[in-house]
Amino acid sequence: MRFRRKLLLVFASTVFICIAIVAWITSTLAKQAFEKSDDQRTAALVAQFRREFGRRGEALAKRLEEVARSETATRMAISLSHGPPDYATYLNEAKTIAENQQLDFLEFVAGDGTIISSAQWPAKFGYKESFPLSRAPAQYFLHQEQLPDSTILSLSVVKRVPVDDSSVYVMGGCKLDKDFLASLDPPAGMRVFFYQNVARGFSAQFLVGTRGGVEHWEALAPLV
Amino acid sequence: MKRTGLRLIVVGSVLISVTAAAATRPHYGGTLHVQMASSVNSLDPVDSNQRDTLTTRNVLALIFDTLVTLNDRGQAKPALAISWQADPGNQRWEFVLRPGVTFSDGTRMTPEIVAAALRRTNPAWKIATRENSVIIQADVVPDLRAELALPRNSIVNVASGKALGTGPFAVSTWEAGKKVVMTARDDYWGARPFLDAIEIEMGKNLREQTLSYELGQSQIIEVPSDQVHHANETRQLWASEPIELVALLFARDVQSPEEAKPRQALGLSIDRDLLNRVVLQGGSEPAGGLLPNWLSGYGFLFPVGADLTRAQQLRAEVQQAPLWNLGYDVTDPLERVLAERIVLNASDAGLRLQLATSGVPDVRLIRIPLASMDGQVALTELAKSMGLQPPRFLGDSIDDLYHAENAMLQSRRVIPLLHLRTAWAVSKTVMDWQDSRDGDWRLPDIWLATGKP
Repeated sequence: MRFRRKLLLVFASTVFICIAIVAWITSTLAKQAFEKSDDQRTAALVAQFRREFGRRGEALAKRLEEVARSETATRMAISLSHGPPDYATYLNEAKTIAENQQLDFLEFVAGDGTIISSAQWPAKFGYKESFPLSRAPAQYFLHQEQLPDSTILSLSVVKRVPVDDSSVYVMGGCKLDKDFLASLDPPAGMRVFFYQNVARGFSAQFLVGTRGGVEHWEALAPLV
Repeated sequence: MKRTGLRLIVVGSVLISVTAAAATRPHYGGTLHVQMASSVNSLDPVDSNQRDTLTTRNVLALIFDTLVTLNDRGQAKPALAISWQADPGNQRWEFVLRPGVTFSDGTRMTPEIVAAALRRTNPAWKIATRENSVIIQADVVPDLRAELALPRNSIVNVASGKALGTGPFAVSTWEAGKKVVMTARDDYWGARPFLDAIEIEMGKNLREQTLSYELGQSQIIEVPSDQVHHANETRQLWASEPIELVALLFARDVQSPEEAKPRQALGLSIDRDLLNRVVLQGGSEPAGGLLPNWLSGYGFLFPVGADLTRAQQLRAEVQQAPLWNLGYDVTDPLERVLAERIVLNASDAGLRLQLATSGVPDVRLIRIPLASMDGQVALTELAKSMGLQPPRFLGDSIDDLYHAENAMLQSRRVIPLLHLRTAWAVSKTVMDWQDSRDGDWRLPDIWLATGKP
């Protein structure tokens, strides 16, 4: 190989390597910048979600506190201390109170976990509540509410009404649905959805957007 | 002075007693206002598209008459027919018509019109006329008089597209499913009703009805079966005997003994007593049979108690329990709670039921009011409403009725659950209201204490 050719090759290689290094550095820096921006936007959205969740949770806790201090709850607790409850008396109590307090879910549950009155599932009186109420978080929490024909995400609160040896638990909640999502203000270019991971594989019926059902959900399926 | 005082006391007492007597004496006039949740969509008793409900029957009974009626004990009483005679074997009957009866447009009721009306609903019957009587030949009818007392056998004169009746009231305003106003007929054969008119508003929810009743705008409102207990504490309430059957009806017949077992298990898993005490608040009676005990007298022979152990055994005897879709009327909140409870009870026995609000369900929750005070006719009509084979009666004894009903239950197509009461809140201004066991209104006999509601 002639010297001129060798020189050209070395020069070309040097230029190529330099360009590659500059391109890689630029790309990495840009990617990091984008990732950082993305992380910041995600963090902002998560913080916003938590703030809204907390705000609603505290409001819910206050309403539940009122219910727990109500005459109905006390009457129920006293009646339980005298023996098994008369379900007929309380069949519609939870529903009426839930309507007055604007709660989507409300249940009065005996200390042993037996449902006394349920707003969302009135027929479930006498059956056991599957959620361990005695171990419920002291504050609000995310919960999967069982309904007669589906499950739904909820923001829930549990309060205890003690009377003598017995007690009644009051468990109430609000749906986490499109209205909750619509109350969030995601950064430009971001969208927010709820997905309930209750089925084997992806199921579009469990994906909720700010308008309820989600169009073109196929693009989101691989994310789940 | 003393004597004048005594005279004044005597005159005052007489005046008070005369006024009191006048207040309790029936008088003509006034409009009765009724509100109800259910609705009537057609004023033709023969309209097969209309759901058979007590409301429909009661409204139609104000406009139309039948040849005979049944009293509370199921005995036939003259109505448009004043007498009847049957040939031996009870297959050919002659009914002598009441003279001087007219339809609401003034047309005279003739044997030909009566025969035409009966042929319209019973094409299989052989019907002839003679002077002032109608002769009916019917083979398979258990008791023709009880059959003729059914609302679908009302005597209707179809004139210029309208169904006209001979009843105590004539329709003056009609808005299908919403409102009907009826005015009393002065020429009614059974004497003019005390009321001048009846206004019935339909499709009103419980809140609207209650408000209207409390404000004195309506004198009669419907009380749902599950509210009977509460309403009884605050209002003047009238409740019928338990007359409406609530049952589970399977869409198809049992194909094999294996298929019968889960159905039997389902029947045993349901706690009817709790359904009655809690969901219905005592407004019903648990039912093991199709006919209520007060009518049949043998209803107690059909067990009503839940037996979860036996249900689980029966479930275990089949390899895989079928998944049944349970249909119910989504507009009826009571049916929703009942259906949900049935699903929970069934799951205790290891059976799989899921609520279905659309499509063709495998099993349906149904509500059917008792059609007749005659046991055989009531059972036949129940079978017809449910789409089952008509019951076969070997005779007209209670034993025959029991065996026919038992055969229907053994088919495992239907699982009786409850018999519901029908209840109405009746204002204190409504006088001479008469209770009836079968939920019939007897509005022509009532009068209003004041002209206004």
